[in-house]
Amino acid sequence: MTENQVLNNREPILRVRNLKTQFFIYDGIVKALENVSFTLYKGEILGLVGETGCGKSVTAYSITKLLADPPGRIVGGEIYLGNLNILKNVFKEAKIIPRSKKPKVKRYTSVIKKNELFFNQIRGKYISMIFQEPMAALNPVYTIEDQITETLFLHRRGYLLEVARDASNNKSFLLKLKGIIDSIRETNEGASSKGKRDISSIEEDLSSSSREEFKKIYNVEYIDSNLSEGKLKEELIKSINTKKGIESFSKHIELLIEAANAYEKNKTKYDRLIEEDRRVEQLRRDLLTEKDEKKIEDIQKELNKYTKKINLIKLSKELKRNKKSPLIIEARREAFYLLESVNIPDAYGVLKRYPHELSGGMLQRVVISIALANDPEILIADEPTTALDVTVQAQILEIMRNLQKQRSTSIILITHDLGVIAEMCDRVAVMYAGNIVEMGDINEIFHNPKHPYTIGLLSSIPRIDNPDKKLKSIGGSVPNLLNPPNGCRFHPRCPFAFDRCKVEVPVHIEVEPNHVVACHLFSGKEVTDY
Amino acid sequence: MIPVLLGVVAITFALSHVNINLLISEYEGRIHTPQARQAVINALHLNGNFLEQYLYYVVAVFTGNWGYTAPSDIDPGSPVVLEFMRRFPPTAELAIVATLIMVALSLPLGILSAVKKDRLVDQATRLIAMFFYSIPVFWFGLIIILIIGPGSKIVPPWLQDSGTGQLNFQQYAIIYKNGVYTLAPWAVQGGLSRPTGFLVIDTALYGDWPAFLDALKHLMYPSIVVGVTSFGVFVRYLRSSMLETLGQDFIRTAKSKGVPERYVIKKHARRNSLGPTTTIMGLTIAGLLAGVVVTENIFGWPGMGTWLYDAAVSDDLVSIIATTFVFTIVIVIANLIVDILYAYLDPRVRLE
Amino acid sequence: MSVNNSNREESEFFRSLLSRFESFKRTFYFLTRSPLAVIGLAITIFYILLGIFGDFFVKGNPWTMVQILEYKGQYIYNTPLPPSSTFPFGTTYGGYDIFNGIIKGARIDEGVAAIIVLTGALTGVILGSIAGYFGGIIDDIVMRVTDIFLSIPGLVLLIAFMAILGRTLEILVFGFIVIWWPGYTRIIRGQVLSLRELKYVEASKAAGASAFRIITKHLIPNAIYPVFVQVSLDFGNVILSLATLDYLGFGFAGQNLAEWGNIIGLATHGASGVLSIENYPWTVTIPGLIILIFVLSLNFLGDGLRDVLDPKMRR
Repeated sequence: MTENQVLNNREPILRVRNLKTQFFIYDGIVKALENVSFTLYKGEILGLVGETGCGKSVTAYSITKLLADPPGRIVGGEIYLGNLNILKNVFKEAKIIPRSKKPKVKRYTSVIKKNELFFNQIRGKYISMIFQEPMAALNPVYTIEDQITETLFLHRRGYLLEVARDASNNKSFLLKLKGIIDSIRETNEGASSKGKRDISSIEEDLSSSSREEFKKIYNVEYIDSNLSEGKLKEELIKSINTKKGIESFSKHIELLIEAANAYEKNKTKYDRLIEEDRRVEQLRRDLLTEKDEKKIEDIQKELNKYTKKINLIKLSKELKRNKKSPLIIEARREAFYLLESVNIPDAYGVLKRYPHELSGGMLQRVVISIALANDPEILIADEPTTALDVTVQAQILEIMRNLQKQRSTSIILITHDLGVIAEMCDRVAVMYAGNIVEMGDINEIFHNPKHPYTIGLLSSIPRIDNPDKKLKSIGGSVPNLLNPPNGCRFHPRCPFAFDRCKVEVPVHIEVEPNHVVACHLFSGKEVTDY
Repeated sequence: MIPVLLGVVAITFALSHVNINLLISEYEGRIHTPQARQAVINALHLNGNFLEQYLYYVVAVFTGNWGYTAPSDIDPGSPVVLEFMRRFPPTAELAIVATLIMVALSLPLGILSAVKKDRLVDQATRLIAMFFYSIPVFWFGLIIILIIGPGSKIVPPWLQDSGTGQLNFQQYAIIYKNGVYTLAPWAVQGGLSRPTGFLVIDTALYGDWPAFLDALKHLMYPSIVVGVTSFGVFVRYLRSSMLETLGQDFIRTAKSKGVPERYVIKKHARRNSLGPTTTIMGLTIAGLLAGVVVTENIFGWPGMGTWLYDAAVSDDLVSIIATTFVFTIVIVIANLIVDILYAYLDPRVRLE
Repeated sequence: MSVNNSNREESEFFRSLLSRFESFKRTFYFLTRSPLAVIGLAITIFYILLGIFGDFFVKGNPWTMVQILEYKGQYIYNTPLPPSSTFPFGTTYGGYDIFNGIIKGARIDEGVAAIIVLTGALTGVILGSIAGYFGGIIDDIVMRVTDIFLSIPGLVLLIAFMAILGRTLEILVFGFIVIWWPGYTRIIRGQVLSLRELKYVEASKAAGASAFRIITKHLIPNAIYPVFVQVSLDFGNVILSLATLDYLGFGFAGQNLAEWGNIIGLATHGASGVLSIENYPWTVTIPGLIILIFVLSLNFLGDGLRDVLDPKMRR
């Protein structure tokens, strides 16, 4: 551990070591990732920046194993989620038989299937991803609520049911709240009958006494003092913190009461499901910490049994038909909350809409809310704002930042836009042709770039304050990764290249605290943990 | 749809009036006197100008006045509409069952083929499909007859089939009751049936199970011929439509949520490729009907196809026009249904 | 001025020709990667050679089959003879030598199919590119007409044509072309619609190029690839339809036409019914196999072409 890590006491969430990914296509092997290593710490936003084709997206896909296989394969490296190397079994999936002209890849489907089952436990729950084109990211034939609840059904069934149960246990309190709100509404009949408007504006119409009353209950302390610890309290506090006002709060309470009623209809069954899911949670945690191979297999087998029981199609149909089951109602309410948390106007109405009815900015917010629905530890955002207008871009980034602060999610933000990096990230890694060439604290990199590529990149940004300066660009073009250059892959375009660069791949050297470069121009201690 | 209908009417009009003498002699029937000729000319307004003739024709088409089939030695000719009601059910039976066979074969194989692209299932399916759409339909039918015909050494007797007609008429439709030969309750003179005209349904309605089974058997073979040859065309479209769907972004999103593979296919991919699939089905209907026409001829099936054939052989102009028109209408309606289905399946289209 | 321009145009022309040749070589190379495509190509070439040169090796009128009424003392009009050394494929009803008919049929089938496909493709391409490029009313009209013809099952229309307008080769070819061009129109129109939005088309327009020039120089050469694929597939489809039509007896000549479908037709229609083929299977199986092998090879070839020309599918 370096000095800095001890100082900051940051917890490493994800450690990528020597990741090597290749694509076996007709013309040869594309050596997309040569040697990618980095560490992601809890609560930080790590930027991954580089030109098109440098391998940023490939890195993201490699981490979640979403590579198109064929033709892509991860051929080397480790990825540690916690203490578990999630790539452990990936190399057993295929055997690469080297041949003179073109190596042949023999794939073992059963191993691939087994690994897929494993990764399905991780994706959406521990690591989430959002992509570039929000307009195409969602399935056009299913409603918004269907696609949000899908991830909730997969990973959070137990939690939803527990909320329903807790709601049932505290139903009297909920009814009391509802009563208060209803009476507030009644005394302000004229105000609330002005039709469905923006939620907060209705509060303005309330008489001042009503507003006082509402403020009394729409209040974290009030909830805190009147409810015992539990899921219901958490949920109510969450809802209050979205600050969406009386209509929203009233809706949440309505739904909670409905869920409570639905739960009571078949307590034994739902209690059993809650127990089951508690077990699943435990198994998942074990999966990530277990070291013994055989035990891992057993855990996986048991997990598969449970996941087989989740029938997404049936749930989707039940959702459409508004079935009165606590799971459906709670899932819907949670989806409602998620949409509110990303500032979607008329969130409850949006639930029943289809993706083509929303704008790009709204869709990307929906996508973000889906990605964060299960409180993942890591969010990988691959060019999330590139396809959006600049103003919308700012909104989306704001949302991401707020959510990240709330939940301390670690984010890997992939982009080619240095402005976005500057605004959002704590640290940044600069990639070129399948390698991380420089990485470090954001201020360091921007003010004190060391690698010739980084310098070139930064100086090519047009600046308003220096209008006479000629636009600079880095000469040459991105190398063909079928036959990448020997040694340092940047050497053909580097103004400072010398003989050593052409033959020897540079290692990562810490030039300043929290600042690593891979370039022969610098000397120092090699680091493997950065 | 309307312009297509008008266009077809125009084409059939052109065809029927291209050879005026043929048209007149058809309507004259067996009476070839100058008065008869004049009567026909007046009735069809053939002495008027082009537009008049066309107008009269269009009105006739839409009022169901389609003329009479040509008289022959055994048949004095009947109103086309009546003949149509006789001939339509067998063709419909055949077409529907063939379509069911085609879909039943194509759907699973097409999806599997796309999901396991380039693997054994895929290569095999593509090869088989290619084989079946390179086969001439009539030849395939003949080969089937060689295999299942009476006296065949390849297939057991209970699977064998005389290959002609919908039913072994002698055996099942004529019953000996009370010392008299009468027709079975569902049978109608000429080998057809009542009340629906669909032999398999009618025999079942009357509970005549031996006849039902025989009718079913007779229906199977031509349906298999048409269904299997159409499968060859359809499954490839299905596969490429599925492949396209699988390449879409939302599939990637679903996977990134941790949705298991089988639900990625069953829930996300399948529903999305249904839309283009129905469109494709609309396109394959035309080919399927062409196959039906030929297959009817091979199996002696008394449907619209044989009607067309007989009419063409005996220069029965009216019938030729009628069958052409009907086939086209069927395709137009089928495509209309397809469009409606598509709107139902894809919410993006619904707003219109 | 004009001399200079024409010189430049000439060298441009040759350069583009050379690049087309290069891409052709590359296409060919990729094609050979797939074993099925190679087989398809080989067999197709064999058939084409058969069509061109076959007539020199068999006797008799190139359009009609050789008829033998008496063989070894018996009348073979109603008794087909099985394959033997004298009749490699046997004879069929009417005493026609099947082998003879098939060799001649190669030329007829292929020739007629070629005329139909090429003319249909040409017509379709021209109409489709005009419709796609100009859009508006022209597009509407062309598309309506295309829709009309695509709604009529081809076989039905052909039978109607032959029955009413006469059983001649001209009517047959005309009928086929009428049925076949709409498919090409659709393909080209679709391609042109997407291509005409591209920047270089806009640039040409801005530079003052005439519509004709844009269509012929820019749009068609780039839109033509799916048409190539379709042509190779349609060759087989037309042959199948032609054989079907002739089988039913609606071909363009009499009973003794040396056409593959017609030969099979003799076995069932010229005889005492469909079931009699049980006794004389070779009258049906052999000619059918000939057709099947040819069409299958064409499809292998077409499939291989499609895989090669589709940039997305380059493995």
